[in-house]
Amino acid sequence: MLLLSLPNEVILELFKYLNTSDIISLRQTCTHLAEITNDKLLWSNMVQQLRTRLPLPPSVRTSFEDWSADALESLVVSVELIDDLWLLARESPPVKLQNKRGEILLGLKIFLDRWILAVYTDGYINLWDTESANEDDYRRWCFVYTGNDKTTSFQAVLDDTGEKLLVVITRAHLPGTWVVALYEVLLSDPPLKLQFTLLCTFPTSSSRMAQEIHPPKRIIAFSQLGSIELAHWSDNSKENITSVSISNPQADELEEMFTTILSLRILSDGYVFVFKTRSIELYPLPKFTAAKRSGPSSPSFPMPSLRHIFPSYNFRDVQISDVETGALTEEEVSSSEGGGTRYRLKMLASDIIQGLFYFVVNIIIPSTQDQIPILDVHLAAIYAMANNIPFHSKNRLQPHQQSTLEETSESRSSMPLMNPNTAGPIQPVIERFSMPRSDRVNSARSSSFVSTYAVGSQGMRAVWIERRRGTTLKQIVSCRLNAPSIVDDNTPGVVSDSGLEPSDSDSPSLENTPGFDFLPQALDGQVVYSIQSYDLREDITYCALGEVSGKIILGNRSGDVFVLETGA
Amino acid sequence: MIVLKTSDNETFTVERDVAERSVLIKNMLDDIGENSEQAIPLPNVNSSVLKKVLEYCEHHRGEPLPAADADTSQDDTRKRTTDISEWDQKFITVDQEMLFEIILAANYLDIKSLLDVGCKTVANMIKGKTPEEIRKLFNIVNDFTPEEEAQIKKENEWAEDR
Repeated sequence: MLLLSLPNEVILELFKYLNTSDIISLRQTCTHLAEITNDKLLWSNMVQQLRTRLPLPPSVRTSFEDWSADALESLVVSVELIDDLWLLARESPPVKLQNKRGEILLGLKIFLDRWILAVYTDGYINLWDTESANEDDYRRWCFVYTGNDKTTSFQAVLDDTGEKLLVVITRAHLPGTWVVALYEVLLSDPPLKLQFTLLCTFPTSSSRMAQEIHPPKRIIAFSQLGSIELAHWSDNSKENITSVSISNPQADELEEMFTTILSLRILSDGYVFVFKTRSIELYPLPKFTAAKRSGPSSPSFPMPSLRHIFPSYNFRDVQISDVETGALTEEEVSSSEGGGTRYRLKMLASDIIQGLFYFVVNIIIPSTQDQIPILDVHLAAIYAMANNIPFHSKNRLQPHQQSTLEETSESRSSMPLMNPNTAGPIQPVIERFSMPRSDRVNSARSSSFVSTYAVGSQGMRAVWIERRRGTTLKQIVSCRLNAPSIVDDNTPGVVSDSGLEPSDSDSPSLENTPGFDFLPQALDGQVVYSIQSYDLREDITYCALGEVSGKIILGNRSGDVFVLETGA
Repeated sequence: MIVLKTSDNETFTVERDVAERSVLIKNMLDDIGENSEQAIPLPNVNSSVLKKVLEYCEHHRGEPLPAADADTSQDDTRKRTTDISEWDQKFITVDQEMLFEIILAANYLDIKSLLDVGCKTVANMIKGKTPEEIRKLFNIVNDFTPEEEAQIKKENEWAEDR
């Protein structure tokens, strides 16, 4: 009995446990195995596996059925190669993008690993096409000058086709007045010229921050402290803007001061996901009322929300990946009576003092109106900056708490203080948390700080810029984000049957908590490049991440933008 | 009790829940009904292999069977290649001949967990080896023409230093 006498189906089964390089080795042993390694099923299985683990080009994430075995194999090879290189030191220095306009950056973004957008407070928006790059000269670029007024916030997204970039800015205009401007850029392959086209502009009120553009519903969302304003733009008129707002009328004003909206996402099922300083909230999207000229005159909506509170963190910033939409598992369908949609968002939130926190949030919106959505917040990993983060047992032991529509959910915080009853068995876990980055000693951690960071659009990689206090060394740190898989989420008994009465009581017990082996990991990054400079203008103030290719985009205090490629 | 008959005409009498670790046997039993005295023929398994397989089934009796479509967690299994329980590891420490026979039988009898153990074991043997080492390990005859071999080596050079 020989390996070769096993039927092909069994050999393919065996390949499931092998790495690409082992399969390539097998290919070189004899013609029979070479033939099996060219099986399309093998490579589509490989892509299927990669999907949950590594960022893939967006075109593959939806379908790869019509790809050839060869194409699938090259994809697997290149994706794994980038993953190998991702945590390694970059071989070439960052390449500076030419032709920049603007001096003071407001933010950086990259789309499809190709289009780099830089927005400046002094009225400029630059867009570069990295793929028409000729060596180190990024030739195709364009900019728009939005006016001599200070730009205060921006957002940008691709539409569903991936061919159109929408950019919204808010800016001061004359003393005491503020305007919103929405631009569109058609992204095309050369030789078409890139150009910003103004879609609409309308007045707004002071200190509204642009937070989200949702092309399918033509909604732009703004925030002002703890309230949200939504504006709907119409296709054919630059003037026709309707708006509506969401705010919590019961909110304590003082509390409101401390719970600024950091970011939000509109879910296509008509909900708004909101990340605040100290909570995550879910609101139903209000109806836009009859055409009303712009202006924030709509009444505040008293409406119920799902809320998940962080009692001991004060997040200053959050970076959220693209929203993933998926079907429910059979189990969830049967328990939710009639199905619904699952949304999954991954995010990295920063608490200046305590560090970076990687959350994976699952939201289930049932298809029937009378059912309550489920908001499920997992703390998946932590990069601890402080030496003594008050870690909380319950969250780690019960990663599956679910917030409910009940107002009482406010008191059911997700991270209550350590329960003394469970302190004993938790100890080793805390050890795991406080694990320092491998290249540093424990005491060094509190002496550095993260100046800026970015999360990939698929939420599988992140990059941050770290500076040690008292030095001028700026370290660029690459990191993998490992989200627990959907399969883990569905550990039997975990999915709440109604969402109303979650099974987790206030006294968690280690033994009978399902899925307790899923605990937050230490976010373990690698320094891939260091910049030593005494010039303050060379401080990295913004960064962005082209997740699929591993491109890191850096912006400094003097408004220069750089691309740091992987070593491939 | 269930009677199983191997390719070399030996019969094994086992308890039903042990035999039903095999989805093939379970389905057969469901078909022929509860109280059949008839021996179930297993023409693709010889007695020495069945003895070994039954030892496995005996040890794992009563454990939940994986759902029919439970390979959605492929990614997890990949990561845990070396993850074979101590008992299984000891059980599967056999010569190559027997290892492949067990894999073949597990595939035929449809015992998913045993097939996994077998495949993982072979995968662990392959991991990190060069093509030449793999040939030696499994007695594979290199039947490439020199041109083919050069070609295939060239196409896959990237994998060399990984």
